[in-house]
Amino acid sequence: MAGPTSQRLPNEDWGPLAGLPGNPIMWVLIGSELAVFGAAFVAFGVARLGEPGVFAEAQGSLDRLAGALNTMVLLTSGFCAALAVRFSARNRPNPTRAALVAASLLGLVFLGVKSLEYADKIDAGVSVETNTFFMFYYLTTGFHALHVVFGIVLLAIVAVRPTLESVITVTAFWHMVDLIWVVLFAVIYLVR
Amino acid sequence: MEQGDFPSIKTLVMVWLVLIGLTLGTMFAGRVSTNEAVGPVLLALLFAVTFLKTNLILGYFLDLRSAVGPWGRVFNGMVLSVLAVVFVLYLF
Repeated sequence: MAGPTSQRLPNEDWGPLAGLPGNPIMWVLIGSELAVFGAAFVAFGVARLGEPGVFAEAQGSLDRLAGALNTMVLLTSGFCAALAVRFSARNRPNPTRAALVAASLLGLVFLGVKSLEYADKIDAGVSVETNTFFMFYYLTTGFHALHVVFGIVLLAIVAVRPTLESVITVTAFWHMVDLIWVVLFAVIYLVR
Repeated sequence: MEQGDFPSIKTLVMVWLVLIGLTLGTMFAGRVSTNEAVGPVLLALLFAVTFLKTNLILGYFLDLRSAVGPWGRVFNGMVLSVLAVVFVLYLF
């Protein structure tokens, strides 16, 4: 049986990163984003220890169903992005474009739901300065939403003239955005 | 970069359906329709289901299952570490 060292590496020229699928630079980005958001989630958990009542009350005012809906929207968008890679690998540009556009549109739906959530909070006078919970809420969800905006732009650009490498690279970014939201939804919206 | 075999469309559909099902699981464990406390058992379930979801996204959507070497353990380990630390913090 062939051992791991005899396997063909996805990125032969990348030294220690040669075993990663897709573009290794995207994995560097994914690792660094996981570290940044991970540190924010741990800081959120530590901050809660000092003000458990404030955190419980503030989290109770969040629209958890909207958060769950957005999770399903983003997961479905990620599914479309994964389909785009599959279509591109089969050299089918039109289905690839359609899947990328569908992923982008679902990204816009995510932003629409998020905007309604923000509008509701702002109407109620809740801002980043209201308390520690909402400081974390706005910073983590806002930083994530900026990633969604950037991802939608990338998906749209690649949809114009998709090549397999470009599709793999931008959809990897999109899946990272999806991955971070899955953890964010659990930690910020649900855990108590 | 060399491109290997990607998950089939059938596999991707299955993974997507499982992810949606697991999201319903997090809604149950996180008691989305009430503000009552989750409790340690449901809290553990919530974190376990969340990790399972990230594991599927990394493995199938990001195709980390095809990585050669320790990369699957590295990235899943990063997510697991964050979830484990937050879980412990919430037990206090």
